[in-house]
This record gives sequence, C-alpha cells and structure tokens, in this order.
Amino acid sequence: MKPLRKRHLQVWTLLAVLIPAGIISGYIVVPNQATDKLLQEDSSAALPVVINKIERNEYSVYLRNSADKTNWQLQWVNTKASTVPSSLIYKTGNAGKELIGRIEGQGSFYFPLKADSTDSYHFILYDIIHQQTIDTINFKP
Amino acid sequence: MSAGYTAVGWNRQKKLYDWFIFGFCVAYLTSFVIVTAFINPDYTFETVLIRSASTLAVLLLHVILSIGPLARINKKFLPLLYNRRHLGVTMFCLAAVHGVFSIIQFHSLSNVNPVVSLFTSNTNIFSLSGFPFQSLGFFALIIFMLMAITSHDFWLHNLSPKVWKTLHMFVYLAYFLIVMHVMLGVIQFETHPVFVLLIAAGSLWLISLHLIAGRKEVKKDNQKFDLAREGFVNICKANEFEEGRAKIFCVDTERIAVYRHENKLYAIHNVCKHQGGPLGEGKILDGCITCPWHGYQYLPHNGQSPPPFTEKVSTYDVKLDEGNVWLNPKPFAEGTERPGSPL
Repeated sequence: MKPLRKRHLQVWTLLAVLIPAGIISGYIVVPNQATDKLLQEDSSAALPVVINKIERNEYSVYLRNSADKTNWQLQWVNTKASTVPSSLIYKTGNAGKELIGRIEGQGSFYFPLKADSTDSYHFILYDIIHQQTIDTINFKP
Repeated sequence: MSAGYTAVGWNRQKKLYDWFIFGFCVAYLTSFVIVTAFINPDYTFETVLIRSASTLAVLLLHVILSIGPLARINKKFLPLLYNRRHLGVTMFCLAAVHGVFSIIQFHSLSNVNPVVSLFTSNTNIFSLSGFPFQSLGFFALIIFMLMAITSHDFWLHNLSPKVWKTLHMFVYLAYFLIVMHVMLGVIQFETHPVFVLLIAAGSLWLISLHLIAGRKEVKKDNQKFDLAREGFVNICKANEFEEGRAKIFCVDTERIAVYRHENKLYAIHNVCKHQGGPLGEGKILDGCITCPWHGYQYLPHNGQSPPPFTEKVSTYDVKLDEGNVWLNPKPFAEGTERPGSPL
C-alpha cells in the first residue's frame, strides 16, 4: 500500500502543475470578442425599414435600416428550431471578416451594422462547434 | 464480505445516502431549469438538459474527489466514504446524459455517424482556442463508464484490489480531461469570469486537499523506530491506547494496526482485504476489528473474518516491557492466531 499512497501523491503533484497550466492556457486564448456578449435577443428594437429579405427553410434574415438611413441592422429569425445550437455571424467584404454576433437554436436576434458604402452586405453563418461555414447570405443592392 | 451473492447489500445507511443523492440531484436540476427558463426563455430543452447535467456532474466529481483526502485528514468525513461508489455511478449517469444529448444535438443530423462526426468535424488539434474539446469529454466519459461498470465488488474480487485500484486511479486523468474540456469548450463561448473562477476554485480545492492529505500520509510512513532488539521495535507507551481503538505504525514498508481489546494488545496488518481500507482507523464492534470504509470485520487475535466469511490478514507479535510496547514487524501468515499481550 505504501507505493500506492506514493503514487497518489506523485499524481497530484503532477496535476498541481498541469491543471493550473491548462486553466491559464485556456483562459489566455478566450476570444477578445466574447461570443456570449454578442447575443442580442428580442428586447432589441427592430429598425422600421426592411431593405431586403432572404428566406431559408429554418430561418429568415432581414436587412433593416432607420428611416433616415443612418442606422443599419441585421435581423435573424429562426422560424424552426435550428439544427445547429450555436453559430456565429460574420460580415465579409474587402476589409476582411468582421464578427457580427451569435445566434442560438431558437428565437430572433438583432445586430447593429455599419453602413456599407457599396450597399452590398455579405454574411456567413459559422458553426463554432464544427468550425465550418453553414451558409452564406448575400444582400445585393 | 458476503456468504452468498446479493447484488447490493442494502441497509438503512445506504438507502438514506442514496435518497439524499437523488433528492439533491432533483433539486439541482429543477432549480437549473427554472432559473434558465426565467433568464432566457428561448433555450431549448436539449440545451438546458445538456448544461444542467454537465454542471451537476462536474460538481459531483469535485465532491467525490474530495471525500478521500477529507476522510484522511479528519475521521468525521469517513461516513461519506462508505457509499462513494453510488455517488460515482450517479455522476457517470449525469455525464452520460450530457454526452449522449450533446452528440445528438451537435452531431446526429448529418449523414456521418455521430461518433465519427465527433472526431472528424473539428481537427484543429494544434489550435488551443479551436481545439476539439468534445473529444476530451468523450475520453473522460469512457473512463467514468469503465469505473462505473467495475464499481461493484464482483469486479473488485475478480480484478484483484491492486488492478481495481489502479484502474480507478484513472479518475485523476479523467478529472484533468474534464478541466480542459470545460476550459477549451464552454469557457471559450461563455466568457463570464464566474465560470473560470468556479473551475479554478474547484481545482485549487482538490489539489490542496490531495497534497495536504498525501503529505500527512508520507509523514506517517516515514516514522522512525530507533530502539530495536530481537526483531522487535519500540513503538510507544502502553498507556497511549484507548480500549477498542488502534494506533497505526509504519515499520519498514507496511503499516500495522495495534489494537487494544479487553485489556490486551493485538497487532494485525492495517490493510483491509476488501478495498485496502485502513483497519487501524476503525474500531472494535461486537469483538471484531471493523474497517471504517465498508464495515469488513476481522478477529483481533487471528486476523480472520468471523465465519462464514473467509477474508484474512496477517498478524504480528506484540509485547510489553516496563510500560513500553514492542512490535515485531515480521508478519505471520494471514489468519495465524497470536496470543496478544496483556496490559
């Protein structure tokens, strides 16, 4: 039994190094744009003007703006419970990829957008679990 | 210790223990669902189930891993050790609910086998933030499953206590996998600091407990007995013994329990045949040395379990000289009768 007790102590001495190292490493790589803070639920107000609309089987996506065209908004409505429980929406363009927000399996979500000088709005829906693009949404002028 | 096969030897304590576990789990899961429904009514049932089962399983894992060192530090925690396996099986069931529903939710709606999808959908093994954290949870679940299905005494007897103990030490690897599963998984998505603080506090608690208990045991193992004559070593004074209780001495490499029973001193090997429990930390009940872990019993004068049971441990010679107790660390064959030393 003495070797077993010794092994327990050795294992925990090793874990005393590995676990804090793992926690610190994991914490350091947490994305700066925290995806949990990107959820915007129904409480956000929809802008009044629908500029464009794209419909899929599971969701509808609306491009909205204010009457004076100073504010833009993306509305995402899950019409059915999504098969992907948690996904990110990125806006793509010449300037690269910009994280817009996160959606979950149910509900509708609103995300503020910056006005695009080209009037073209391209988005990708990205599955953060499988790390793959699920859909591309292109609003053309 | 059983004369015939019974799947589980239910008694009042076991039933109370299990009812308490059941009640706690139901209360936790219900509270989680209510709070989630209040905070975010858009959550799906599967999501709530996955999250509530996982958090409860992690909580129970911390409790399970705390019981061993706590019982070594303070005997008051020994009753928790008695049915720790039931707690372990409960934890596995909750972890399995989390795992199965996660696989269904994240991997079942494609033309790829869900388990294959688990390992092939994300292959970023060189990226920490995008690491396939689900596979870590999967391997931990496999370890928990092996532990749960071998938790019955049937497997303990068939695998031998040494193999069984070694197998069950893999829970420490599983714990590390779970910490990393949480850190590289949910912490990357739900970045509120409370989640990191909780997992860090839990780990710190366990590491501290195990190191404190481990060092205490090393100190016991390194006891030195300088005075030796004719194979006997002087271990302590005779008046240090309490009736029906023992003191444990580590002479050379093995621990020996010296019991005082009906004004005689008896020495037996400290390790219970069942799961290696410390016999010297038990007490004499109905004339038998009773293991504090699961109640296995041995007669003080010969180290044998009372009939019809067949377990036996080694016995040792002990003698008194001018108020000093002398112990011979050379063991007699298991079950050998020794006369004991009158006080």
